Amino acid sequence: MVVERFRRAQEQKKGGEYEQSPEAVPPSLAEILKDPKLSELLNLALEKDNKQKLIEKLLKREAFSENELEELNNYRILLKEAIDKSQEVLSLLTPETIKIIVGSSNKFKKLVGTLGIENTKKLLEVYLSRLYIVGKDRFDSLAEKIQQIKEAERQLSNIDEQLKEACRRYGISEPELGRLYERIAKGEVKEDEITNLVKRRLNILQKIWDFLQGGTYSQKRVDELNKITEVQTHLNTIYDNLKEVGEMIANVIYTTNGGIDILNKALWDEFKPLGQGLSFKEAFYSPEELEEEWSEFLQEQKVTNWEQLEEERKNELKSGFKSRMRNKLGNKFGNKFGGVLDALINMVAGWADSK
Amino acid sequence: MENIYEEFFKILAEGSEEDVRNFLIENFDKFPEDVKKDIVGIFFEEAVDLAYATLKFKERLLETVIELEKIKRALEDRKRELELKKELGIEPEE
Repeated sequence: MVVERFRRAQEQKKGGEYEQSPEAVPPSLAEILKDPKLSELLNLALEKDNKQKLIEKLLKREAFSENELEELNNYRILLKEAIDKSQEVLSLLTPETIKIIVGSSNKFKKLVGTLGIENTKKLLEVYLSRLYIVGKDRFDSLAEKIQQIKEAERQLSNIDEQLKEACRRYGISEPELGRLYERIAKGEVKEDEITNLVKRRLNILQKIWDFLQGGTYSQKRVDELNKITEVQTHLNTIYDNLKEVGEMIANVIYTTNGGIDILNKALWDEFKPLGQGLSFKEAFYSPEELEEEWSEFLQEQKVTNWEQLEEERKNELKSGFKSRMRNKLGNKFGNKFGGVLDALINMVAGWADSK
Repeated sequence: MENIYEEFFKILAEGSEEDVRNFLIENFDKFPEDVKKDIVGIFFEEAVDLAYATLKFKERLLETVIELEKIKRALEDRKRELELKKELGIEPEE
């Protein structure tokens, strides 16, 4: 309560910043500490900034200095931001936007199928607010992409229609990928062929794109062509290019469910998304390394017989191990917090809890 | 019997990225809420990236088609113009 009284006094002092009333800018520190989700979020923010002393004081409910209270107040504001921004992102996830996102990944589709949309959103709410705290750049990039997908909702079906029309114009109805999927099903070809085909097509498209960007076919230059045969040669190149682009379109528009992951992954490689976190293999940790870390930690904590420790001490040590691993992995992987790194840290925590 | 975390670290050490991801999906229900939200978050981020990449790609495809068709029309017009000039004997071809 001391904390809360101090917070209110501070906020009243600030006046301009909190003109309405302290309750108008929830959550208060007291509310944060009462709510397990919020206090976990606060803990995460403190762990990320390596504020061990504050974490310990909060755990033991010890008194804070004025500076510490000011610091905690800043964290409180950060938490409010994280919650508000996560809500903003969630509000973008209308059924139409979710449909586009879910339709882009069979794995995510499987998860949503298991959980249902509402439960998925509940888990995402926690995930997003955590991502805001530990990886703001990633959060911002994700929010921006969702915003663009949402804005393109109507435009997308229009684009699809225009692309289909282009396919019809070039007489392309059956995509190569579709034929390959059938051959894969019969065991005649391997999946790699699809990836290779998509990559080959993307290379061709890139060349066509670069060629168009080069401005070879400005009206002025076309007008300078003075021989019919010369014009025909150029036209043949354009027809070939259109056919190539048409095949690529057919592969994007008419792709099968089974092939969507392969196709999208190839596109993903091509468009290299910004702000990506770690891959699991980058964040490699073997069971032996983990055991080694754990033994080292217990040694440092002068624990000789784990089994004989009281439950409370065990929990304290597990929590300490989690913080240590968060710092260690955080230092090792720089700013790639969130996503895989957080999952890994939670896996480490789960592994320690099973001790 | 190994616990789910030991199994995870074993796959992480021995399997491919795809193996790890498939393991998480297949064993999703065995994990606590804390890990579940990370799994959902990871695959959500990935799905957003894929949807975004597809969107950008479709935009580029459409832009390419529009540009190529513009050039095609310009070249076809030029060809017709040269053919007409040839027919009329205004500017003999070759």
